Amino acid sequence: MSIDKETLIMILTRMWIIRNFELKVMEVHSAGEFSGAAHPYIGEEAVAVGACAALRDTDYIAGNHRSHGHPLAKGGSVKKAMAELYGRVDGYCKGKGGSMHLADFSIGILGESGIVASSVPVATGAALSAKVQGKDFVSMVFFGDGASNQGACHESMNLASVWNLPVIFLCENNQFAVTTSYEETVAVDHISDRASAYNMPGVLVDGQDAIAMYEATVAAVERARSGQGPTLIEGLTYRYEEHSLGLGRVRRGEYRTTDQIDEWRKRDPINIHEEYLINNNIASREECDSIASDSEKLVDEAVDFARNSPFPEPEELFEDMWANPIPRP
Amino acid sequence: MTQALFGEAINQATIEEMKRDERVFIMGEDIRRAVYGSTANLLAEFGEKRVLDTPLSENGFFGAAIGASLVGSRPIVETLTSFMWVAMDQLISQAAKMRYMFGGQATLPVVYRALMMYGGGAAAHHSDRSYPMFMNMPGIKIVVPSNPADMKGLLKTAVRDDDPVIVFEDGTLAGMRGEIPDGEHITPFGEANIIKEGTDCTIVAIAGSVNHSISAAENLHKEGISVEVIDPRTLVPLDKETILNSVEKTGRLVVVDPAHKVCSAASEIASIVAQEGFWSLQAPIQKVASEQVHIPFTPSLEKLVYPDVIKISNAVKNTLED
Amino acid sequence: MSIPIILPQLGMGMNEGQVMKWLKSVGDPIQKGDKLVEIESSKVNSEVEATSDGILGRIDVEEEKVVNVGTVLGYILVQGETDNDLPAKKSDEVSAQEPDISQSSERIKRQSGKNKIVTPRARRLAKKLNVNIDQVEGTGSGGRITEEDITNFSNKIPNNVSLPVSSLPVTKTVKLERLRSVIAKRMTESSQIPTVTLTRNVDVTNAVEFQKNLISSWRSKKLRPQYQDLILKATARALSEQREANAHLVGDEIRLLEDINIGVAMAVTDGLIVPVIKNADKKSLLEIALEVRELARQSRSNSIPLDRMSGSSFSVTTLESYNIDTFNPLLNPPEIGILGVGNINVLPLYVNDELLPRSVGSLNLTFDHRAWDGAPSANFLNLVSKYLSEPSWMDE
Repeated sequence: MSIDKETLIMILTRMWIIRNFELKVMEVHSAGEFSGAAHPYIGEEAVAVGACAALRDTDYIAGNHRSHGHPLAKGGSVKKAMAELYGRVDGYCKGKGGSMHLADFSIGILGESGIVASSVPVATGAALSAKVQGKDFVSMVFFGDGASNQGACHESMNLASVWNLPVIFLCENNQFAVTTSYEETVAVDHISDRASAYNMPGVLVDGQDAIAMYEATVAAVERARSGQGPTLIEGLTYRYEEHSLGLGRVRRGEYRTTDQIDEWRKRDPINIHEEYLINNNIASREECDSIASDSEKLVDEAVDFARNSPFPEPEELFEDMWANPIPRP
Repeated sequence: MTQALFGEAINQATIEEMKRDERVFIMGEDIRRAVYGSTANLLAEFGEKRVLDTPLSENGFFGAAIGASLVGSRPIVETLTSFMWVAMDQLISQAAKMRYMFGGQATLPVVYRALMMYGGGAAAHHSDRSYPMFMNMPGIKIVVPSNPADMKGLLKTAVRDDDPVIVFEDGTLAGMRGEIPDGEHITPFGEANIIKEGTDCTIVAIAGSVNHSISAAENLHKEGISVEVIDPRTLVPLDKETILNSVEKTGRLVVVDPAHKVCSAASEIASIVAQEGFWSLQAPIQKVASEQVHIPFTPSLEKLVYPDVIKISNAVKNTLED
Repeated sequence: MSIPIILPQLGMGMNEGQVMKWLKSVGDPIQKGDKLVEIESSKVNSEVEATSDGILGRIDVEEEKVVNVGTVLGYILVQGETDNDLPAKKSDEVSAQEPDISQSSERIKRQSGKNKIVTPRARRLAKKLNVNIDQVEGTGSGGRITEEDITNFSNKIPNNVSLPVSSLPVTKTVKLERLRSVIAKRMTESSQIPTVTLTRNVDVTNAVEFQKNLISSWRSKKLRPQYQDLILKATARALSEQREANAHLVGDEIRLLEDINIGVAMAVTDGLIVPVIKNADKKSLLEIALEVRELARQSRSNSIPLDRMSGSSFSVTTLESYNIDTFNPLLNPPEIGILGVGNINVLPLYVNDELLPRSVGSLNLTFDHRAWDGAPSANFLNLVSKYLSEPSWMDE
């Protein structure tokens, strides 16, 4: 597949944005600028970015607690994301969602769920609606190796298959559910093997390779949009940081070796993509570095924006419960 | 006005709303063959695309309904209260919480119709009256009709409402016939119905226990006791004004609820009146609700569990002891 | 700008931490990443690191203090800054008042009645009607005081109790809090007047007979004749014949009054009221009886009209039905006489040398000795006795 430069550059840009966003989040969280859980996406950027690059703005995504990568991969506002993490009124969700519940319905992001796999049926339902309404949008849902064991996942895949729904099941296999290796908990060798149980294609992709992710997703979106039903894509990737910020201090015992982490660091997705661009004369080193520093600036601006955004007022506690409001009990 | 059975009222409401708004579709297990009666003729009328038989995966398809409602559809899901437990994550983590946690971005016009069987030997797993548990979780509107007219009017309102609604359809009312007004019959949420006026004692009754309370009131009337019977019709939102005004008039309250008594809807109503209507009270509030045991199969025991006319009458008399 | 050292959330779910040990002192040079202070929490023990180079400018949270996540522990001064660049130290204030988002609920002040069970509804009514719960008897189950009890209690107290006036027919009405205090005042007043009480034990056998005979004829009028009716009739006649008894003493004036208005003492729950039968001498026995019944009814429902509560020239007080033989009634000033009526006992008496069972009841006249003396008052008492013991003159 030949991919246009614009798309390839967009992929790099968004990966850098996510990377710098996550690094900055780690920094300000450690400095106590906001608290609450945060789950860094560092090392997995190619999965979300490559996949979302295959979607239209009118297509939908939903995701999970490791949430920052998904909206940013679909082109969501960096400022609003940061403000949401800071719990401020100008965040995506007016401060009411926080890190685990980012959502931007205006660009088709149906929300990140704190309960793993909980958004899989939701995304499946969006695809159902496309069918019932006779429209040609598709939906894609991100879930992890741990989530792939949840009933909701299996029910959704079965439902999508029997009803032939335009949904892409995108499993981000970063190989660990907190401290538990997927090799010990998943009954099959590869999560993508599960697709056959639901009579849909299952595709295993190198999750560090954004282009490979992109190409696989494009194919799946094609299938979906043309009425051929769902696909399960497994992006095999790796999480460089801990499951969540601060977890390293509380867990007892190691679950992986530093050697393993180093091995995977050598396969940094941003490096891989930059090398591809440079080696194929699509972009220069300077251009890549410029993209990197621009994204850093963007993230710094987002932090300023967040710091200056106010906290919601007390009266706002009771707002946003109902579309058709009822009296407070 | 025409007469209709409780199930026919559901059918009428569904057909009318599906005709009125093509975004409405219905899904559930075995609804094309209308095993529970209320979805008869839908398939013929609206076709396969809008009348869907689901696989046995409540968590999956309850969630699918949520997702569909986010992007332009207005789904109705038919289920049984007993099958909702496997889907609690979708109902709570998603349906109840989505709008608020996403800062108002999500609108979920989804309706779950939950058939509530009990009292007929359905035994422990198929006799759940679970609406109090959903009252506690903010974000879901709860509807408990007690007669065919309200069933129709409230279901129509539920479909038109933009928030998630669970309609609890009391199975003991399956054989109940009632008058339904002709034409567009809508019953708003948050408006209790004063079924019978009285001066000595107020009964607030929920779902199937409304009819028992009316019978009890009629019997007590012969003994010279004047009882006011109120049907809240919706538990979220709850019309507490009507209830408080009634207790102000009578000074006495009995709350009747077929759900298990601990943390029942009756508990909440009693608590509201104890706090906001305290100075109206002549006597302690009485709760008549189901015993705190699982539903036994055998009829000799099951008949002891639920509120009945005698228990209700005794409760009214207890309030008059002064 | 100096840089705040903030206590971060070192572990998921950590809400607060305790400062264990400062690893640097104020004034020490610092490099970014240096460990500044040891923190202990329920979730994790760790250190807070410096986020910048500089000097430790100030320590705001001392060792051993427990603070919330997000609290500023101290400040780092960066290159070129001095102490002046440190923000003003916040005093140890109580955390700002959490905004009150609760809905207000009705509150009613607590009332007395501690040991009685009072229904909330009854309490509310008592407060509204200004009824002291401690005085109310409960008729609900277990002695519970109900709304009805409050209502009934409240109805027995007349709202208006008027003071006797020195000039008729103008009346003065004084609103009072409680009937009792009025009675207390008046009794005190009257006890300061020099009085004498004369007692006659009167053979009232004929009166009793007369009363009995009236029963059947009064049945159609729907009332039963009472002993007190005869007393009043006899007293009215006696007053009309001895006008000096129908008088008020006001200051140094004895005022002989034109109208014969007899005050009839009636008991109510909390005390005594004395409504008035105006022009009693001009009324038949039946008229007097009817009026007495009406006043009694009105007193029970607290609806005696104002003008019937005052203007008496002489008063009658009966303890006959209470088994009291004789007593000394207190005057009702500025009246100068009051007749107290005692119990009727059947006693053996000599009547024309024959020992017969006769009905005997006392008449007790208390008189104001400043206004008249023993002889005329005795005469008056004898008049009443005569007219009572031979009642055939009383028109029906």
